[in-house]
Amino acid sequence: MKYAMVILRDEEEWQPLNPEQLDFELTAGWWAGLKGKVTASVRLGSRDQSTTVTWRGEQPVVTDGPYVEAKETVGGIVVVDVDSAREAVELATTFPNRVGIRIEVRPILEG
Amino acid sequence: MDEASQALERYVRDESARLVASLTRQLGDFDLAEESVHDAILEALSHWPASGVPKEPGAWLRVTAKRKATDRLRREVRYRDRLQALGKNLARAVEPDQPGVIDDRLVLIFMCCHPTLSREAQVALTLRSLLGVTTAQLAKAFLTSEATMTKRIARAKRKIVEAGIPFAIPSGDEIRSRLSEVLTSIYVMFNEGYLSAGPATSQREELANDAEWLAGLLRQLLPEEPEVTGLLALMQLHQARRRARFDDRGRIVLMKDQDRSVWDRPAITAAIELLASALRMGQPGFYQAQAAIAGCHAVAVRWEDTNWELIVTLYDQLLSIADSPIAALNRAIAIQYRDGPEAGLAELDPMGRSLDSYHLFHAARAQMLRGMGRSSEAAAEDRLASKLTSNPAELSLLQRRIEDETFIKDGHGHPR
Repeated sequence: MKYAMVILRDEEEWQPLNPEQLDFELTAGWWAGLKGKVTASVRLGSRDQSTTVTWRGEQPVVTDGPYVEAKETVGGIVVVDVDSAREAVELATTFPNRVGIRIEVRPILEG
Repeated sequence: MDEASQALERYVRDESARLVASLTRQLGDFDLAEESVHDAILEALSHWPASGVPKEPGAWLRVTAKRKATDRLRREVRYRDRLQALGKNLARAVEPDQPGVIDDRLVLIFMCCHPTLSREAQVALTLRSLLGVTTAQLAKAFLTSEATMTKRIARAKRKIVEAGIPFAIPSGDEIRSRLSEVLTSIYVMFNEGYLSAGPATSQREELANDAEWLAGLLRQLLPEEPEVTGLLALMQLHQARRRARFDDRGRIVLMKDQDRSVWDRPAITAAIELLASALRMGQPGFYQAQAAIAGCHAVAVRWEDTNWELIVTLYDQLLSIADSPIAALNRAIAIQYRDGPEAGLAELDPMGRSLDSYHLFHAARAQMLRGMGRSSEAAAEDRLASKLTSNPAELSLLQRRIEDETFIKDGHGHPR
C-alpha cells in the first residue's frame, strides 16, 4: 500500500543542517531503512521560488511567493510502498532532519 | 615529474574535455576532433615546459587543435570536399558554456562510456577524450605497450562510428539507465589507480585523482542524481584514508590496524556532508550504499567505535539493490564483527560453492576460524587464499598471517 510522507517545514524553526548538527549515522540509518520501499521522492524548491494561484470568484489571482499566512511549507514528499500504515509511520519516525519538521503520513488513494 | 610540468598536465586535463566536446560538435566528427586535440596536447606538453605556458593557454590549445584538424582534413583526400564546408565552422570562435544549454562534456562522457564498448575501451577512451591523457601515459598506467593502447583507442572509436552512436544528449530516461554504466567505468578507473598491486606509483595515483575529477565534473553536470554524488563521496572517502593503507615497507595494512591519525579528517567531513546530501534524496542506489558503508568506517574515531549494526543494515540495503556475492561476503564479515566469529562463519559457509575460487572468501574464513581458536584450519584457509591471488601486496599479507598462525600453533608467538 502506498503512503505519502508529506514533509512540512516550519519556516521560522527550520534550518538547513549545518555540519556540527549533521548526524551521519542518523541519515544513513534512515536511508538504509527505506530499502526498496520508496517509489517516488521529490524535493521542492524554496518558498521564494513559488507562485501562488487562487481565485476570486471565477477570476484566477496569481501572486509571486507562497501563501503569506502559511507558517509551514512543504519541503518534499516521499512516497513509500509498504505493508501497513504502521510501517509508513515507523519510517517517518526515523527521518534524520528533525528540528522544525512535521511529517504527515497519508494514504495514497488509488484506483 | 617537476612541479611546472605537473601544473601543465593538470591544466591540459581541465581544458581538454571542453575542447574535445565543442570541437566534436563543430566538426561533426568525434575521431577527428579527438585526434586533433590529442595532437595539440602533445605539442603543448613538448613546447610549454621550455617556452613557458602561453598567456591564454585555453585559446592556444583551441587554435592549435583547429589547425591540426585542418591539416588532417587537407592531408586526407576524402576529406577535401568537407574542408570547404567546414571552413566556416572552424572559423567560428568556441563559445563558452551558456547556462541552460546542455554541456557537451556530458554528451562526451556518455558517448565514451557507451555499452557497446568493452570496459577497457570505455576507460581508455574516456581518459583520453575527457582528461587529455596521452596514449603513452595510458599505456604506462595500464601496463601495456603504446602500440596496443593506440589500437585499443582506434578500435573503440571505430565501434562508435559503426554503432552509429550520435553525438547527442541521451534522453532523460536513457540518462538514468545508462548512468550506472558510466559510473562503473569511472569507478573501475579509480580502482585501477587505487587498488594497484602495491603502494601507489605516481602514475596510478594520477589515475585515481583523474577518476575523482571526472566524478566531480559529472556531479556538476548532473547535480540532482544522488548516485553520482554517492560515487564521488565514495572515492573521496577512499582517498582520505589512502596514506594509512600501506606501511613504510609497502605492505597492506588492514583497516583495523590502520593509523587513523593519518586519515585526512577534513576531507572525510566534507565527503560525509556530500554523501548525506545524496542520501537525503531518499533514493536507493548502489554507490550511495557503498559510500555509506565507507562512511561508517570513516566516522569511527577508532576501530572499536565502528557501528557494525548500521554497516550490516547498509549491506542489506546494498544486497537488495545488487545481489553480489562479494557484497554478501563483506556482509558476513560485518556480522562477524557485530555478533562474533561463529555467527560470521554461519553466514559464510553457504557461500562456499559460489565463492570457492575467490581468495578473499578463504581469507575471511581464515580470520573467523582464527577468532575461534582453530588456528591450523585458519592456516590452511590462508594457504588456499594465497594460491588464488597473484597480487603481491595481498600475498605478502597472507604469508604473514600464515607465519603468525604457525607461530601460535607452536606456542612461540603471542596471540593476535
